[in-house]
Amino acid sequence: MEHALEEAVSEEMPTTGSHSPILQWISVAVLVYFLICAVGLIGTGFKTATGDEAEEMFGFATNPFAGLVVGTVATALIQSSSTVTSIIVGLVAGGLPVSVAVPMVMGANIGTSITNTIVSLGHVRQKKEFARAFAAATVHDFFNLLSVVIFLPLEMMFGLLEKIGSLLAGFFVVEDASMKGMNFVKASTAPVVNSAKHLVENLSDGLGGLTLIFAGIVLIFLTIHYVGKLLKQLMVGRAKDIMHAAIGKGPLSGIASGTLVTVLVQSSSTTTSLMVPLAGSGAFGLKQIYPFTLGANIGTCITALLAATAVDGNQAAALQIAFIHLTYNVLGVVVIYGIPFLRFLPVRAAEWLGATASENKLIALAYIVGVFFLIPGLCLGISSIL
Amino acid sequence: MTEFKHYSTQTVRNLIEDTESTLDQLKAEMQRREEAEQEIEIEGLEKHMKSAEFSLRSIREFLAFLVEEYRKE
Repeated sequence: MEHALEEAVSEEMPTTGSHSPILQWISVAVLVYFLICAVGLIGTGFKTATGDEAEEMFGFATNPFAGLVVGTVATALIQSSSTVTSIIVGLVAGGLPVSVAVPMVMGANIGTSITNTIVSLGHVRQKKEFARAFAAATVHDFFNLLSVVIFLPLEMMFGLLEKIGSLLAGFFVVEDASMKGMNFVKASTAPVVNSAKHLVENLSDGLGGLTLIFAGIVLIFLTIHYVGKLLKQLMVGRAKDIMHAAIGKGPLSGIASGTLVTVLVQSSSTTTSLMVPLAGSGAFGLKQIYPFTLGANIGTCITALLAATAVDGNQAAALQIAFIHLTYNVLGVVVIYGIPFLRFLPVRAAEWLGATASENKLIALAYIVGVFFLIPGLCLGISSIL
Repeated sequence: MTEFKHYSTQTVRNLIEDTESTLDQLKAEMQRREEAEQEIEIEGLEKHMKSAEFSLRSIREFLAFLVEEYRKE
């Protein structure tokens, strides 16, 4: 009864608190401002805390597998790849080497797909529905895993992504110091970052830096959480229009729609999780869902790019890692979806897993614990021993 | 099947054309229905957005279901 009442109230009041959209948009703008400030805080804090020893501090993650695991587990625990990649951008601005950050960004992609996998568990009581929902959730996992299998070795051997990221960042970074004042975003965030720096002035470099990093992480977490909530309310109508327009138009349109919806709601987890009930109902087939999830990978890069525009410290490196994230996701779609042999490997794997897990639900549990926690933990243990 | 042997070539050709045309129409109708179903699902996007949020309740319910199944066995 109480539950029904709650539902009725929430249906009557689709926009929480019935705030006007203008007020909600202003809130979004303020939150985005604080998101950018937060990334600046992390960069500044990391630089203060480590001095010139950032590389040594992340020595354990110079093993790319360790970086991958850090990215995966951190994202799986925080439930937001945007948050983790924004933190990584801040750390890179503060001195974390880009080469160490690349596998972390790849790991963030894997970690983020745990959200929709958990959402799919809600369909467990209907066998066929569960098979469809679990397959729709894990197709994203398999795509991201395949992407790592292809691009991590290429990155380790040739520094492919680092080179492309550096090239792209080169177009946007103004080298001439006298032009610094032209960076309005950075100038506008400076008061908040400088005030925070001023507040920790009396602490030692290490403690002050760590305080700034902690404050930045908390602020990023809160801003992304609330921006996501507000945008979901504001953009649900637009997302509907985009998805209606994509129906029956083929995979490219699906990829573009997935990208756009993710940019609008600022969360790839939301887009991919939305696909779970759509697939579970049986209205959408796995092959129709698949392009949307690929688009979600691309759309989620906007947050880190936005964050990188205003960091304090090494902006070239911050932009480089943000572009690496974008390049990695775009290339992943181009290569895996572009090559017919690879195109439907994730779909087949997900279909098989969905069917198997619907027969034996323990497999679903073992899959989640194994892929997102156990295997990464083992890899981390082994890589720290070697 | 064997009765086709007695048909003239033209009749068989006409039958193939008719069948292909019917098949195309059936496929188009099927696609129209599928798309209509998809449109309806998308109309319920607000509801899906709520159910698509990460919640520990999904995990709890899943584990409860596993325990139930285990006890039944």
